[in-house]
Amino acid sequence: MTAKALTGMTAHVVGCDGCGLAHRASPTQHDLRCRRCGLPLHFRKPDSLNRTWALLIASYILIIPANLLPVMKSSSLSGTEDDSIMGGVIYLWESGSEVLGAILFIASIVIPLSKLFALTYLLVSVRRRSTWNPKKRTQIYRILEAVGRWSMIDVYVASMLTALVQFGNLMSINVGAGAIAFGAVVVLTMIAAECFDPRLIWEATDQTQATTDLPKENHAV
Amino acid sequence: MPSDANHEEDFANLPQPISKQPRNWSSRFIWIIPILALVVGIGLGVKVFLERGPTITISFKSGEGLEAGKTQVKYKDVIIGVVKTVDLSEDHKEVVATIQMDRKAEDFLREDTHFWIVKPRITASGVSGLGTLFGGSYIAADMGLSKETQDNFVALEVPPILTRDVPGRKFKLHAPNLGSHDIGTPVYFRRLMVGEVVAYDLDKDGKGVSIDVFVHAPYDKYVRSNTRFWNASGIDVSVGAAGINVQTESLISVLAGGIAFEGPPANFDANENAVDQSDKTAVTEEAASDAVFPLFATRDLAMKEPDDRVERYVINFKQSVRGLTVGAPVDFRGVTIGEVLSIGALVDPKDFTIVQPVVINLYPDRLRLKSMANGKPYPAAKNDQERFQRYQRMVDRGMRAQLRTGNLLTGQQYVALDFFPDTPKFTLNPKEKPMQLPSIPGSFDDMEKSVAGIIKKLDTQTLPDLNKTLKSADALLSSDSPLQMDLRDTLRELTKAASSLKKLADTLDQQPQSIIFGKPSEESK
Repeated sequence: MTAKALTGMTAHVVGCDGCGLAHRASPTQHDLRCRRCGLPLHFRKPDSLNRTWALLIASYILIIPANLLPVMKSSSLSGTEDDSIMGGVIYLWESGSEVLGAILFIASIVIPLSKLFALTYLLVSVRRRSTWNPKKRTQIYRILEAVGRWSMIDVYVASMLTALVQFGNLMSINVGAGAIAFGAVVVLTMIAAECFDPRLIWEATDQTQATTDLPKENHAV
Repeated sequence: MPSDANHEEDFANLPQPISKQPRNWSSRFIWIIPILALVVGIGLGVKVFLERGPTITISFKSGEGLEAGKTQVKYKDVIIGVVKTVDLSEDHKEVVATIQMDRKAEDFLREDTHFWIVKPRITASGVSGLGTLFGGSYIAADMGLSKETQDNFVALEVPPILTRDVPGRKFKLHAPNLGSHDIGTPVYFRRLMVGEVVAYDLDKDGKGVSIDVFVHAPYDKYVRSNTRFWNASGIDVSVGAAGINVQTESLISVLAGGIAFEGPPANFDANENAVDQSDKTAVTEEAASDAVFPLFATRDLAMKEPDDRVERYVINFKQSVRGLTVGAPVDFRGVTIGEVLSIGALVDPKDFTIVQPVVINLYPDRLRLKSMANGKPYPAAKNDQERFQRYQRMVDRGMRAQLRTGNLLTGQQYVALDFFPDTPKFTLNPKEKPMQLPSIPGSFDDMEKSVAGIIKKLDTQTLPDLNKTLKSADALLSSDSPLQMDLRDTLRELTKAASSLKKLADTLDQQPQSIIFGKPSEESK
């Protein structure tokens, strides 16, 4: 029996995200509202791939100035100094604070980049209707969603310093254009991850074959 | 257990959702975001690209104070670039810094633009670069003026004393030696510090030194084509015929050396009217930039009138020229009109008389002769013939050269030209080069001679007479001479008279009435 996995989509049932009321609807229908609470109903996040792609591309664009432009402009008696993210990492590493440097490197460079790449991979795999290990891919998505906000450490530090270190001529720190771009990258990737619907990962497997991963008892029933 | 069919039935009972109005904006609206990001990204990129100027390299002797990504290039304390990398040159002899210049600093890439590293320095003329103690060193730039551009520069070892944007002008001084001058040595005008030495260099032939001085505006306009520069370094003590002469500029120049300049002295005639002022000021326009001036050793030398006409003569002295030095003045009735050039010795092989030829330079213009007839300057001799005739006439009137002592303390001597009537005739020989002027023994020699004559006379005539006189005096004063006896008696009488006079004075003192009433009796006492 080439039984399809029973999902809301295949059963023509959609639950309300707001109040949980299940409705009977066809996946071809659009622009539905919950009968009880009036929230829009949808089988999948609307326009998920499109939105994710758009936000992702925006992030790709902005990550370039985020890394090239100075994040922090510190001016003191000695003159002004521009610090980019990578410059800060190198400075920390060379001045002996390898651990701090590594943290900054991971939080500010590795995580945002790997987030972008992971999301890109998920999107591509969904588009190509890949059936490879959907469980793993869902895990990737979950990690990606959870870890995203930690990238804001950089922006947080820069904005804290800007607020605290304002001693006129003696020493003052200002946020550079890089910090704004970097913040935009983090926010955009978070929204992109939010827009992505992990259920799409399973859709391909659902439609092509009866997956062997599905619990056995489902078939038996 | 429920079957699929049951599920279907359950699902069939589920409520239908309500249909809502489709959203009127397209889902493609989301693509605004990446487009916006692209626009912002490109905007930032273009901005960075536009601000990014050319890349240049500067070679340094050492990499001290150079830090990649940190050390800045500044012009007037405005950042115009930053050091990108610091590497050794290929031959490992220099440090090459690659510098990313700002867009606005493109003008700086001229052939004669100078770069140097600013660090704290303490020199005789002051302390500089203190700010870099806190902020680290930076590279300073001084924009060149050349039209040629270039990208590879060699940094200066020491910062230039002044940058090109300082208003003022540069002049070149020629001196036989550098003296105590150095870069930064101040230049004074009426004891005001108005400039400094910016460079010096040995002449190509090694026979002198050229010193570049910079005079700041607005004082540079006081440097005129006839301005005199002299050494104001230290204390100049000179011992000349005029005594000890101490010349100093200011305390700082005593310690650090200095160069002073001033215009030539104004010349006044008896009526206090400036002489030749009209034609003098006419020719003294402001000196051009890089004009060359001689650097005199002292103010006196500098202030001397330039001696346009020089005449050379020789004077043969037949006595000692001790005290006469090369450079000693030649004086005509108090006016120094020349100087001694050399002193030698000549021997006549026939009779072995030895004379001391003294070669002098005469500057006839210093005398400023005026005609008694009309008060106009007496015209100078037009040719050698006329000159010779004039000198012959003066010699006929008794003009002779004489050695005189200028300073009794030091024994300095000078050559004086003066008129001595009743001197034997002397004919000048115009064929001699240099022409010989007649001399007469010095006043000191005269004195010596007469003193010797007096002593001789004393020895031969006066002393025997004196002996006779002394003998008779001796006889007169011996103890048994009648004069002595009489004298003694007289003295004795004089003593007696004195003692009775004393008695009278005492009585009068005690009893002044006695002068009227006579001496009182013993009883009334």
